[in-house]
Amino acid sequence: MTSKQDRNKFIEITTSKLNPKELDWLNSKINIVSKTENAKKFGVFFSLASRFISKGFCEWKISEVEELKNIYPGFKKSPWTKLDLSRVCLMIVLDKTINKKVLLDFFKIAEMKEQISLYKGLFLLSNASEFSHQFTEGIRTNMVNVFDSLAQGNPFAQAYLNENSWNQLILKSLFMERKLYPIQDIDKGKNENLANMLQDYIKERWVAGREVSLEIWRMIDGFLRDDIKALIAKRGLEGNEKEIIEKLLDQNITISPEDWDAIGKIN
Amino acid sequence: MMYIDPHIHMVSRTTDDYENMRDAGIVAVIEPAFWLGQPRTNVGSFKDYFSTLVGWERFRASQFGIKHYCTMGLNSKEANNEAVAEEVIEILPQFIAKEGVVAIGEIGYDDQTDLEDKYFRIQLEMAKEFDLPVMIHTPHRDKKQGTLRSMDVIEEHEIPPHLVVIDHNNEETVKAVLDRGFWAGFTIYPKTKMGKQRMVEVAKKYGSTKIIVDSSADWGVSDPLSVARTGNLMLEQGISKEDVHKLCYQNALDIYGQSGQFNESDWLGENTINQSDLLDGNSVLRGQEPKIINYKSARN
Repeated sequence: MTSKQDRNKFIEITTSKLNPKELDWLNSKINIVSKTENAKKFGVFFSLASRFISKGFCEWKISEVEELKNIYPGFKKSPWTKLDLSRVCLMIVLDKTINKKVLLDFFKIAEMKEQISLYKGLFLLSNASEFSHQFTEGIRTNMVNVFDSLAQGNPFAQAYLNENSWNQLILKSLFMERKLYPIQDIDKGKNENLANMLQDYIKERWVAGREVSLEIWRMIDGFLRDDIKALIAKRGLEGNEKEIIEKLLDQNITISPEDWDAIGKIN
Repeated sequence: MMYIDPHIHMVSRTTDDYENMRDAGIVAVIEPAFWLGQPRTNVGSFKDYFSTLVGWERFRASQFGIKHYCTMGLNSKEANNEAVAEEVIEILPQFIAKEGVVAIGEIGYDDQTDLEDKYFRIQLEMAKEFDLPVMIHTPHRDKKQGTLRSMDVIEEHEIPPHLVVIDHNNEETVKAVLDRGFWAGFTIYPKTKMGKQRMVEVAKKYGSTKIIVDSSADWGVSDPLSVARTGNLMLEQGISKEDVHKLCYQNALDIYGQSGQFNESDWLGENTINQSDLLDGNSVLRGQEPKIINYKSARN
């Protein structure tokens, strides 16, 4: 859970990236929606932000990135526009007593880019854990850019999802052919149920003559089943797949998270 | 040649249509909120429909290299269900405020009832409040009177004509619309409304100023390639490239660009679509080979 201090720091860094006109607009809307009685205006301001705040990216100082990574682990793993950052500020300042209703109502009518900002921002809410159901709903999306905002560089998933939802996030990432390595705290999310589902998936794919992402073995490492070992023995391995699986089968070799990241980047 | 279809209901169209449209040079579309053939019985259906226009449909179009925009509004047919209409008007502002909403529309008259008139006027005021252009649907029945009345009401609400497209014109209505300073839209349908050849004659007679060609393709017999086909026919029959460019691209950009939500820079330049992004249970591609399409838009 983020502290009030963290949230204020997030707003402070964000607002330092806006030009005077953008800043005036955002500050005036922050003042309005932070009052409980005005919360119903949140949705229109959140939408209208696209007309007043740039969709460009920020230039960061190293110190700012460090601070942001402390507040929001994974911050640098996904793109944040000034518009995303500003919209998240509007989310943060909503009063905790009403933010759940306001945000869940708005999720129902959010357009594509709004959904991206919303899912990115949930982790920063003081009552973030109350939004895990909505986050799980988000995993079901087929809009790739929205899915990426949930999966990549978003600390919410590992912090608040139950095992089943987390496992769906990983499975869906593979089905949508997304990379696994940008998923925040990916290795913390290893579990036997997931490894079993993934091994069933590998069998399904191989029997259909299809390939699987080499990153899949990251989540299976330590849970490799005998039936898959037998399939591997029968399969003519080559190239990167051969190298990774041989390492996996060798008790004396440990593949580090950095190695797995590198595998994700090149394959 | 690049084309814009500034009036098409993509929720009713297939992925084949998207592919063919892109191949024909259509780079951007505007999808006006309209009725679905089947009347909606509650506000929730409208809410989900409006959300689809700014969500799933926008994403779907993007996978085929087409930029998707929309207009928001309560259509005239369903304005006659007062109980639902009241609730739709309540939720409309939240959708009007969204990115990529380029106008209020399509609004206007169908049977020209009192209720249609009431909600038409309310929405004209919304257009003023949000500083957006307006797209007017003119009635099929009693078209000429309905068109004149629409323009009278717009003038009464003091919306300047340069912000308004009067759509679905024919040879009988176009002169009055242009004379009063409005933009005149022409819907090219295979059987009803305007045909391609008739449109060529209109262009020859009235030129290319403030005239816009669209397909209004939807769930009925209609052609999502109307704009491109009409443009090509005009070129074949001696209308200049510059005029065709205005009629089938630039005029739409000029009128709806006034919203600040419709910018050529959104689609100019290189646009690579990786369809393998999509392989998933419910997504657009199912079991076909993913391909990477590289579209480079350039003038002509």
